[in-house]
Amino acid sequence: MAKKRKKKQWEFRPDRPRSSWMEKLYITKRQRQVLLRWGLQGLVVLLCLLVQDTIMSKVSIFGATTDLTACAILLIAITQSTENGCVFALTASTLFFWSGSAPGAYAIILLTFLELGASVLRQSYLRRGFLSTAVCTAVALLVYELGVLAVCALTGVSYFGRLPVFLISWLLSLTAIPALYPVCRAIDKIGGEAWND
Amino acid sequence: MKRFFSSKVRTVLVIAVLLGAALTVIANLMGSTFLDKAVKGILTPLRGAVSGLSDQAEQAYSYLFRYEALAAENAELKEQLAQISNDALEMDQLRRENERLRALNDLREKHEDYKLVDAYVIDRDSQDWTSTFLINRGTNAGLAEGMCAITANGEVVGLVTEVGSNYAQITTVLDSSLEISATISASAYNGMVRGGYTSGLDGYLRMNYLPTEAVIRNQDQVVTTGSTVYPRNLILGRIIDAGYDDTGVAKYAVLEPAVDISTIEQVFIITEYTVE
Repeated sequence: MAKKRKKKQWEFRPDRPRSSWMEKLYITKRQRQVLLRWGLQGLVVLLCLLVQDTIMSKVSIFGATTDLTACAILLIAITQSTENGCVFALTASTLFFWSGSAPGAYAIILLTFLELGASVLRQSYLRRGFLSTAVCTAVALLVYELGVLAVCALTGVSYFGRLPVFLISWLLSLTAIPALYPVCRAIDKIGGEAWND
Repeated sequence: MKRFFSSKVRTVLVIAVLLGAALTVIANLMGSTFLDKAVKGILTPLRGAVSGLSDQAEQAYSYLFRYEALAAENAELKEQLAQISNDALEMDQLRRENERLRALNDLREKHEDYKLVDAYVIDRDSQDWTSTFLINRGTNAGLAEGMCAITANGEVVGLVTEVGSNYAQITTVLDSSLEISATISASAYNGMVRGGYTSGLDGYLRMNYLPTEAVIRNQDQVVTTGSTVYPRNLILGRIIDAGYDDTGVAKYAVLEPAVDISTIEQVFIITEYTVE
């Protein structure tokens, strides 16, 4: 009686079933990390937008409310390289406009240019760190608020007498920087440092 | 410095300028576009969820941290209640209940021609110069642009200025962009009411173009004159001040709005009514 031959594990291995389109779509580890980083940064902006519109808009101090979304866009973009920051500011501010929360389409121009200016300032003259990022974000946000006031005053929907309200709004928005900065840095660390000094 | 302004950065800056300009022109010519509505449509359920979570958090906070204060207040109220006779208490309760029910039903009884859709505020605008909010009803509930929003007491809240499938934007009477034909109900003088923001009267309304001979009294009620947009006799507010305008050939009145926009939670949209 012939002894039944034991089937060895490595003798025959059936072909794997056809791979799905997701498996065929090859992205490198680095690309995956970049996508994850951008997704998380977008999520932070989205959360700030929702918190601003549903919670912070009810909190009014001397008639002013915070401007968390603009603050988050500038802060995140400033911590990137100038190229990435610019693209992020443009994309995020466009979605900010389409969400209906931005003061107008001119916010896209303001945020993109101010982010670039602040980013260049930080990378040229300042060391990387919380203080330099906070200062650059604060300056960019101040110019943004003044820019919004100027456009509103020139188009007749507001007037320059409202300057104190815009300045209070700026001051209130600055309080979000210490809370957002560690989140931004944690996201930046995905896939290595993103600072480009 | 040159290293910062690579061709990619310059391209992004050019796109930003072109996009900003193009979207400004499109927004001015066409109002809201498909993309606006799509993004807002996606955000509406998220906004509703965050709003609901925030309300629950507020309730939890009140329960946890204001418990002692509430308990003390409760004890005090119980003491006060004990001092009131049962008959008086019952009467008071009945009167309050009656007032509440009357306010809710008065509109339907008085204006049988009104078709109303109720909606809740889910999102408030945080811009300084505008006064708008979003509600949780849209074209799916029969809403359209140009419909009037009111309270249960027949007070004008504003106008539907943008509608998506599941949301609508109400521009309130406090917004300077709205102008409503109005009448002082006691004296029948007509004028135009608009938000007082641009006149330095933030939070108030201003009634313009009143005749110089008009006798304007404090606390006179101002109501809508009636148009294809606003039905007649909806309450706008009460007069608290008056004077001559800059030209000197007309008078104006400052009104306290009948409705507190900052605390309003529910509105009714008049989707249909008979124009008199």
